[in-house]
Amino acid sequence: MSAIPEGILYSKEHEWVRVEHGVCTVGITDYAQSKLGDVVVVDLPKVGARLEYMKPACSIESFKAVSDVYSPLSGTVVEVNPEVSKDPGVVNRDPYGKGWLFKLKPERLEEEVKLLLKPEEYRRLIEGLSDA
Amino acid sequence: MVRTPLYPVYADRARFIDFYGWEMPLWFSSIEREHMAVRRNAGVFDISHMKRTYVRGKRAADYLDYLCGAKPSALKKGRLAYTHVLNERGGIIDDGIVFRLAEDEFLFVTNACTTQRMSSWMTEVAVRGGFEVELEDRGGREAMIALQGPTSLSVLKDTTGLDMVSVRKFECVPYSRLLVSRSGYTGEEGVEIVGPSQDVLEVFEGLLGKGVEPCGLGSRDTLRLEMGYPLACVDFNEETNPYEMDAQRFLDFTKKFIGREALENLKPTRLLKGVITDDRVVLRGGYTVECSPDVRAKLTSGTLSPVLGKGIGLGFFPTSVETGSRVSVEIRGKTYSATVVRPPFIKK
Repeated sequence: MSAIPEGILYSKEHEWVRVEHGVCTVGITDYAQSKLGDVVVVDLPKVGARLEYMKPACSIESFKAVSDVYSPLSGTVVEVNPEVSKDPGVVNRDPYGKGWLFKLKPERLEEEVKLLLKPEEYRRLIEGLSDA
Repeated sequence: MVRTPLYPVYADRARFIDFYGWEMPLWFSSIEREHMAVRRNAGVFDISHMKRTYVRGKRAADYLDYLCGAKPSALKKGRLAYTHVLNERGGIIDDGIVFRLAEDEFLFVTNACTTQRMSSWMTEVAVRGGFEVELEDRGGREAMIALQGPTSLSVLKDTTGLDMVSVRKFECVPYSRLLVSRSGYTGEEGVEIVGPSQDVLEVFEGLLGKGVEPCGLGSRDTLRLEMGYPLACVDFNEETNPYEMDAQRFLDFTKKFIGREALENLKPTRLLKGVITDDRVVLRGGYTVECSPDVRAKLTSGTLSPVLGKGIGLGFFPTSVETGSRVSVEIRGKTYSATVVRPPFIKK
């Protein structure tokens, strides 16, 4: 069963976002990494890039396929995870921790947060899909 | 989708894919882990989905000599040969391995993707050529596995008691109700084992019990790509001739075979070559390779080599493009430098 930690929010495209002190950390969910298989190349966004709610922010590539990562919030990228470029497998091993992808400063936090899924809602979403 | 007789062993422990109508494991743990297990220790693959035809009768050898580019009649009992089956235009219908089991009995293992075509073709050739042969496909009564890796022979001995060390490469021996050959599609030491489903299942479970890594089609593809082995229906099809695959050494022109006349008039204008990138990127079939401002090629297959950490791929290049040429591969709007090479990509 896929891990779906509390305390973070989820998108329909299988990203998670943690909101802390005005900075939001984004990654992909355990369900997403298990479907992708070995993550071998990650194309992170540039620091300073402007991202839009649920538009492609960057891409993740596994042996199987290339997948777009959508930004769960609109905002500006303030940091990207250097670990991920060195060791893309960290996204598989620790998708909610060391495998975070980028941090952004949100523009429309209050409004967009309402559109994201709570852990229980995300669990229902993936239970409706094919097996993780 | 159809499942192999070994499916119950791994039903709840694999990520599956639809492979030409077969529900096959793509990976069990991860493609990279399975790939490296085969390169360093041992991995075991379910390859029961491949087509297997037993060819029997006094004219079995003559029939196969006519059907195939190689010369199965020249094989001694217990020897194997890699061969192509061509159409009248010299195009490759399939490739496969012929095993000589006895004077009048052979086993021909060919690809899952061409099963229908080969079934019809083999029957048609027997009828048209007036060869009275028995063609038998044992379907789900039979299973096949491949055990590959540097420690494969020793774990095989531990598990079954069978010592294959004194059996030469491309030779096979019967063992109880099984047929065991020193062969494979990974470039490593190893065996392929075929026989009644229950017998193969027991060996499969025994090997897993001894810690052999279960491996799926994902790692089977990355392993064969590192060796530069082409894959039917992906790298070649009936529009491809053996010269374009640099496969003339597998053709025996001392005997009559289907496609021989067409081949005598063919000169290849393109050749299947390898491409390796400078950077760590994943190459895929369909990507465009720019060799020069007006020469472009397309990859037929590709991946990221787990051993080399570089993108590797196969593709047909005009004969004017030399090995060693520097080229660039286009991937989603960006270009990456690469070199044209003669496979294998890794040394074995």
